[in-house]
Amino acid sequence: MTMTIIDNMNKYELIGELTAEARGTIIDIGARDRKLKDYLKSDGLEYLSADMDPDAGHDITLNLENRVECDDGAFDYVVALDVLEHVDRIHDAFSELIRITGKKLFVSLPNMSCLSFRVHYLRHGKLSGKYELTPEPPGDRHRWLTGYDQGCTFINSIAQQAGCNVKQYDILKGYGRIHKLVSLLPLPQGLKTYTVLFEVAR
Amino acid sequence: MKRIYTRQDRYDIVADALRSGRGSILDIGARDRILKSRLNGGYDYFSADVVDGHDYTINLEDKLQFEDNKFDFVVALDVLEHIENIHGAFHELARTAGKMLIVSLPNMACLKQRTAYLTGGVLATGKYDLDPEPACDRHRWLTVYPEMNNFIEENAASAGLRIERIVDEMEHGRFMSRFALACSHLGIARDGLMTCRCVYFLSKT
Repeated sequence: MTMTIIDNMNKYELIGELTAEARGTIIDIGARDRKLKDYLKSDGLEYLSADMDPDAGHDITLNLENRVECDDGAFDYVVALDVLEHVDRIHDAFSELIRITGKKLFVSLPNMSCLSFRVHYLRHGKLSGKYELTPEPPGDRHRWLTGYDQGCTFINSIAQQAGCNVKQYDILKGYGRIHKLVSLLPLPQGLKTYTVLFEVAR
Repeated sequence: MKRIYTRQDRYDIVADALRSGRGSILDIGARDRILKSRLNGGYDYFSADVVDGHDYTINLEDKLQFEDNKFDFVVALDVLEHIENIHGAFHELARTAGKMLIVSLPNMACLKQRTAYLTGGVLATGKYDLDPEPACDRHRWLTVYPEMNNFIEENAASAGLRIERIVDEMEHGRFMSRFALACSHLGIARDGLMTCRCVYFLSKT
């Protein structure tokens, strides 16, 4: 496993760079408004969007809580950015993502243990709206608290069990004034990384 | 609606409130039946859990196979935060209770948890850990003051329940619990900062 610090790109820009020479199919799981598509640089990639909502006009409708109805290695590149923390069956979902990947899988997890979130929790007693217990069932929410150490261990353990190599990119760019300040300080990676992107190669 | 602050634990809070009553009690998520040992002898006690070895084996993710108002008292202490379908589960508990529903939720925004998160990046319980192997049991909701109070208030109203009282269980420890109790009575500790758990007593209207 290798680790690289990224201080000048967000996760979409980074994937655009990492796939600049790629050829084949790329499926964007949890695509929402297909933001990733705008950042892809390679003309040789066929972009497919996937999400849960069958009425959202995506190429593929799928729910990672269930088995993905695709063959092994069905897509050359699989991308799931800030998706796994929404899935209750996160272990099975990650294994499914590996299974349907032909060449490389890109997954990202938000680092909920970065210093800006820690300070926010101390001050306000809440993390973000994604963890809120609302009187009505929320449409979408985080079901896991993905801290830096546990998130990295989780991805590396399962990927290695599946015989994959992992490259880790610690993305410092994030939101909020406190985080921007934190990212400039000489702190351990786990405290100033906002998002961790993993490149999992079969 | 009364709000009470106490150093008692959740089992004693419930046993105290029910000390002079009679009727049937369903203890959901009973585990080792601690509640039974604290209750007076006047109740018909039934334990229920997702694992075998109890009077009833149930899963709160699904509809309960009990008729409406089957038990006089339904108790679910630190159970709802484990349930993905927390809203549906609450209404199932309400449906099953004939006289009163008693639920507790841990306050993960108490001072102890906030400082643990600041210093370690994890909460002071393993229930939110993401391990390489799936956990057999975990918290699926981050229950924090005042969101959990709003959740109970709104859902109790829609389920036809009236909030009789809310009991704030203070942080543990000989010194800390006394300090927390004093702060709460003086109104110094706002937003449940010293409350590690709330027990809600909800009666059928």
